[in-house]
Amino acid sequence: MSNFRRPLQDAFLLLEAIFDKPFGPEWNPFRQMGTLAFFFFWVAAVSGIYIYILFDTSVAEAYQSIEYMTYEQWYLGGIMRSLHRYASDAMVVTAALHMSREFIFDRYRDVRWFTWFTGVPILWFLYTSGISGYWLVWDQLAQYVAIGSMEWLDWLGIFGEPVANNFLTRGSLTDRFFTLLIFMHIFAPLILLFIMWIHVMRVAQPKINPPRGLALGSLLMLVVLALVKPAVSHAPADLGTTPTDLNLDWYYMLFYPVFDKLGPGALWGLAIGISFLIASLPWLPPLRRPKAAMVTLDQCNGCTRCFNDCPFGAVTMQPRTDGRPYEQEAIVNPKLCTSCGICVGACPTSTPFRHSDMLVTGIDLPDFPLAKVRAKFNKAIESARQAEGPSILIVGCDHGVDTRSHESAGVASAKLPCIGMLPPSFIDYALGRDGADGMIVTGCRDCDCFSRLGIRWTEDRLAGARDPYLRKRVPRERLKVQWAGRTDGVTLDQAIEAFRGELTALDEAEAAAKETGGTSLAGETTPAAGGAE
Amino acid sequence: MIGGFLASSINGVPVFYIVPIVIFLPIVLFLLFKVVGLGNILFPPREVVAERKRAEKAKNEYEEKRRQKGLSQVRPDKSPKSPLLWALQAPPYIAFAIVLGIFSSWPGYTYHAADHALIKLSLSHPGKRKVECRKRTREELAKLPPNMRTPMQCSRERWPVLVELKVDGETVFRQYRNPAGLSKDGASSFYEKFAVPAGTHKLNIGINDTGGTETTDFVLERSVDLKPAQALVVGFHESDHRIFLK
Ligand code: HEM
Ligand code: SF4
Ligand code: SF4
Repeated sequence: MSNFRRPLQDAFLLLEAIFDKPFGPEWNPFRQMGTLAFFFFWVAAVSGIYIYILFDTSVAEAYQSIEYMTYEQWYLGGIMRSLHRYASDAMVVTAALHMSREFIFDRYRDVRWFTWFTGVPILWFLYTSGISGYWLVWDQLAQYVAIGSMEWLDWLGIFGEPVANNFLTRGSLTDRFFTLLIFMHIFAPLILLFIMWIHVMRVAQPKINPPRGLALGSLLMLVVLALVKPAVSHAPADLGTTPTDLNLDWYYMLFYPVFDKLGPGALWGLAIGISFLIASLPWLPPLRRPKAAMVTLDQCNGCTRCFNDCPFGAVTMQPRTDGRPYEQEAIVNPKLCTSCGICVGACPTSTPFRHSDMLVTGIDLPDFPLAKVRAKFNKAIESARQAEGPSILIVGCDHGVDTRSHESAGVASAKLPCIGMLPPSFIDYALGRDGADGMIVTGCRDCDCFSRLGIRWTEDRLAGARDPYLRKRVPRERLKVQWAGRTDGVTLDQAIEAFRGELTALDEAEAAAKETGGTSLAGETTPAAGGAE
Repeated sequence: MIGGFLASSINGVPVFYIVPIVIFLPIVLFLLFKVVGLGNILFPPREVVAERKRAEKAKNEYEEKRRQKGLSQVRPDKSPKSPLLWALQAPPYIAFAIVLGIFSSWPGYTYHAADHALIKLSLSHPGKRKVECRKRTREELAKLPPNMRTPMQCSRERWPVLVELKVDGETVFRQYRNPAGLSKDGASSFYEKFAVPAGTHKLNIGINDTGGTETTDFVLERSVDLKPAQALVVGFHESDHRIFLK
């Protein structure tokens, strides 16, 4: 059942790998679809305010005022008009891709339902905004779309007088009704923005703006498009005639020909049916997820690290309840927790250097406790050390490359729900006495963490930029970070091979240094972890 | 009684439409606020606000401590640096621009054949009452409670309206429509569109609003010369009781 996603995921992963080359992981537009949609909203908002200043709000003059900005003031009004149109179109494309991507990578079920669910009214208001915009041009396209929309609404029978009658004959359309249409085009985007805000409400530290380079590139693209193919109007509307041949903006008007074919009732059924289907997807079927993280109060000192790192806002801090001399304590809201374990990786008490057999940490996953992580590490290290040559421990996650299929003589692996669950002290432990000769940290593709922030926090912790950080004494040349998605086996294989070579050279150099009594080479090789403390 | 209230209107807005809103809006709002959780988002409870403040403070202290330790945020920069890579980004941007540019106006769509005209039947007309109004006799009035002693007794229900449209003698439309309203006391509405080749046509429109099958209660027969793409409206003037073409 869950495997129908696989081929779709593979398609996305392939495409994204190609885009990774010129864009780099961070600017890759596929990972920025939500932020790009936000960005295009702002472009449409700013250009919209400008063209509204030039816009005449009367039925008789509206068309001419838009012709003026398109032809007389093409260098500013015209460009703004085109930006307004194409940014709106781009919003449909990016929102659709964003939605497909969240669906295909299964980032919408369980506690993520709220964000998904609020995407549905976003679609409705996005369409209302775009379609109402096309009415204001008051050309033949506007006439077609306005009459179609009104006929569609009239089917509901909620208006005393059919609203389509406002468009019946020459002179039917009054300035008053036209003003109402303009209001709709102002309020629909405002409501859209409000829902977009609610949409990211439950996302902790949501990324709302695209990286600057990507935003700049997208804006440049729109401007060039505006110059090459400026947005233009059809012939002016004339209610005494009927529009014949039209150039539809298919991003917004796909449903109008469907309407012409099937009629209003069927389209209502379709629109409401599709909306309900999309809205109920998070429960079709519901995700079965391991138990939520749990705080062990007598280990928690209220340091707020788990609270700061949880990507889903599931941890909150509350006043101490057990009388111990700390100000606060962590508490997990199981309704928000995805059991990613990132909080475990953040907790200062998550350390393998404990005498007790039972390893108890401040915050832990009941179904995948830290004690189990240490046991897995021990087992993997032991098996890697069996073989000749350098032993390598790969630590990966459930959503990225399958590390188990890369095990070979001297190479063993352990998997976590998310790489962000890895406390840096475990690297110290794994590379310590009786440990492995080298360690590879992997997870999802770079900037594509399934649990949103696992990769970011891991890099920050290794770089010493975020608590808990990797201790200085850990030999950085024995640690390699190689992000790799599910289809990036080859990348990981190459990394393993190269790393094996580096480790062999290191061991030989260290052995030689020991013989001659010189200093170790450590520190002269480039650290693999992207910067040290 | 209730029917009468529903049929009345406040400031021109029929009560019939207001009542469901008054009933369902609170339910929808309640669901939004309590079940979807909008209430907690828009008006967070006092504890939540206090907790957020506390959390904010803790976070600032944490950041401050880290600043003092000299551990500022240094994330590896993953943006593409070389101009060559920037140049290589052009093709994807161009591809996106082309997709945007093309489908924002192509392929064209023929809504209506250019050599045809459009006849729009947009007609709203209440049928006759099924039972004519009748003056109440004095005895009848006396039996009624004082607040209901209206001199006329009217059945509210109206006949469905039948409309028939013939173009050049050929019937293109013939349908009954029921009156609107819970007690079937409103107008029957028609909104239909017919494409006809441009040129001269003989139109014949007939209406029956008295429950019969003959469309002879109102009749209009006229020869019209329709230009290509012309939109001709067939309507009904309630004030002077006649079918009109416009
Ligand atoms: C204008 C349209 C939209 C905008 C601007 C938008 C924006 C965003 C943003 C900024 C995020 C947070 C990303 C992050 O920091 O991880 C997000 C997440 C999300 N969006 Fe949208 N979105 C839009 C439409 C939709 C639609 C239509 C759906 C689906 C019906 C949807 C589903 C989701 C889901 C499921 C997440 C959560 C991902 C996660 O928790 O990992 N979005 N969106
Ligand atoms: S397991 Fe993940 S989602 Fe749950 S509290 Fe910890 S960091 Fe948050
Ligand atoms: S990270 Fe650990 S010690 Fe710090 S608040 Fe969370 S559970 Fe408590």
